[in-house]
Amino acid sequence: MSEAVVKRGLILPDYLELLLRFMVGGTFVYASFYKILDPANFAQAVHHYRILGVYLLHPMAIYLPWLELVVGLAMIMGLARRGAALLTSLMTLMFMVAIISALARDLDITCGCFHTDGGHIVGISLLLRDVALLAGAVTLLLNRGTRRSF
Amino acid sequence: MTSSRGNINLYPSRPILRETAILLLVTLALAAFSWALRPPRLPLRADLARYELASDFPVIGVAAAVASYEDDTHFFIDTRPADPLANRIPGAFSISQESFEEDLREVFDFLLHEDSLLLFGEGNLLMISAVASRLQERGFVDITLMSDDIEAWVEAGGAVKGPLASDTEADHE
Repeated sequence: MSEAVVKRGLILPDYLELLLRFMVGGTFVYASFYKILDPANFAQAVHHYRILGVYLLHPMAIYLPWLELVVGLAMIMGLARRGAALLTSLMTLMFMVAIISALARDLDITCGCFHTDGGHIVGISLLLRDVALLAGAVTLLLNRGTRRSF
Repeated sequence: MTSSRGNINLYPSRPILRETAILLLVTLALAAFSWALRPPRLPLRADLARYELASDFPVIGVAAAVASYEDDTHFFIDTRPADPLANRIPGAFSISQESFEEDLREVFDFLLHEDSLLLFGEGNLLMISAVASRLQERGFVDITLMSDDIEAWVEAGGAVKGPLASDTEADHE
């Protein structure tokens, strides 16, 4: 990150910030629906990654979809924007690590991102989609903005 | 916000942490509320045995599956979620993970426990074997999985109904 960015921050035009908020926030809200409605199948999708153990699998399957919903809505509505941007960035990073881990182990699984049953096969295209999502979230995180949240 | 040296600090850490903490707590409250009130309640501790999918089912490729279809040696079971626009293998029964009980009730009269079943789906063996495990629990003993998806089936010359049917439907119906 350049010194200029650190000192002055990014200043996005309002329309661009709004567009990014709707794209990133909307993606998270959409992704949360099926998981909230069907946590058991989502738990199975998470289990396919073979990362979480017996104590974390179900709490994660219960908590994560709600976090996606809350953070996505906060981002769309402009509430706690920096906090929401930080959480979306961290969640997207976590998803990317999971995808890379699955690819490294040659797992033939679906991602469980938007649908708890079926959906995209874990692969490079999925990783690129998450890179784009991360870029949007980090841009919002770095955006100096003009309005206070909360 | 102004730092101790008088410079404008555009990246205050405390507000962002406060916002993050509030969002995490709101989420915790919502998730706990939803978990407590809405059955069926997912147990907080997972039974991993439930998720360990049986891997001892024989797996065959699409060429062998097409041969089985043409020789009529197996009942074909489509494990994909119901989708009227999807390509279907003519004569295949539909039993998906998400509507397993209803699907099984619909086809139960047509299948015997000793019948040979060939399960296929979107090429994801984990998903297909999840359905296979449940069929095995219900007493079906001869279960085989097809490793490839419906597109590979069509490319191998298998019969199909639906959007991909143009080349093959006339040949097989």
